[in-house]
Amino acid sequence: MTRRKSPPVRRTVSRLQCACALAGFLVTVFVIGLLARSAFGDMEPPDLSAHAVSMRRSSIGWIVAVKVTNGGDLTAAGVEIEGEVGDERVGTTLDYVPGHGEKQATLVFTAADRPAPQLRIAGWSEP
Amino acid sequence: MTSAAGQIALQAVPAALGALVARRQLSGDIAEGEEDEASYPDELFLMFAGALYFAMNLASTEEMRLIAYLATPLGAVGLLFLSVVLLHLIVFEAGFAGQDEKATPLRAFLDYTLPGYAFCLSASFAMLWTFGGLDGHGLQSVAANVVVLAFPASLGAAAARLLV
Repeated sequence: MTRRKSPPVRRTVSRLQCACALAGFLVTVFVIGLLARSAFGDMEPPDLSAHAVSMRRSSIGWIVAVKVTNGGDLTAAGVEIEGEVGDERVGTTLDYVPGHGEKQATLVFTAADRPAPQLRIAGWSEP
Repeated sequence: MTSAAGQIALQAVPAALGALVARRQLSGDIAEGEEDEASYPDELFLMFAGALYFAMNLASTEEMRLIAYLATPLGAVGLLFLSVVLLHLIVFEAGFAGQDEKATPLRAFLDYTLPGYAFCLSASFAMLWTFGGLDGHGLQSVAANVVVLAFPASLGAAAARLLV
């Protein structure tokens, strides 16, 4: 009994393969472009600012949500935020605020009346 | 209760993928050559699952974010190229068991490596977004975080392509 040898399978390129290759290429190039734009430009140091976004009363005092915005290109680490109302000064620390990003922190004031805190960035370090 | 259910659901995903790998590796009733019958979408799906497995386990860690913050944009581009090269070499050139010998290197790069790496980027982005790792980040920071996480994800994609 003889067995017929099957002809070699020729690998053809389907439309799906072409579409996947094109999509993969475009996604990869898009990400490279995003990074390259920053790689070949000047990297601005962190430029931090803080402002209160909301305030509510709780059993421990006034809870003030503070949004910290970084207008620079580089990430800031250990960002110290201070808030002051009259004689009361409170503070907290954010681990990281990425470049062109924002993070939120919370300060607690024990004043009886609704506070209008003076907010400032006390300092930060490089990651 | 809601938090507990959410944590269990998240943990179940890598556990399910682990069970899939264990079944494929430890089960003795899989015929020789069966893996050759996997279609092109199946193979891409396997790469995506492998990338998802690694990305899910690492996206919630602080270290991945720290590496992304410390990396310069040029360093991140270098890591991207390294990920693509490793993904291609491990699957098609390194001579590991299970590697595809039918495709030419260029065809394999276009058909598998480029879409596979795009899946790695997608899986990394999805996992970082799921764990809140992209909250409050600018576009460049998002790209750096995704590329850093896509490095282990690409190794996962390559491993899945070979093992499963």
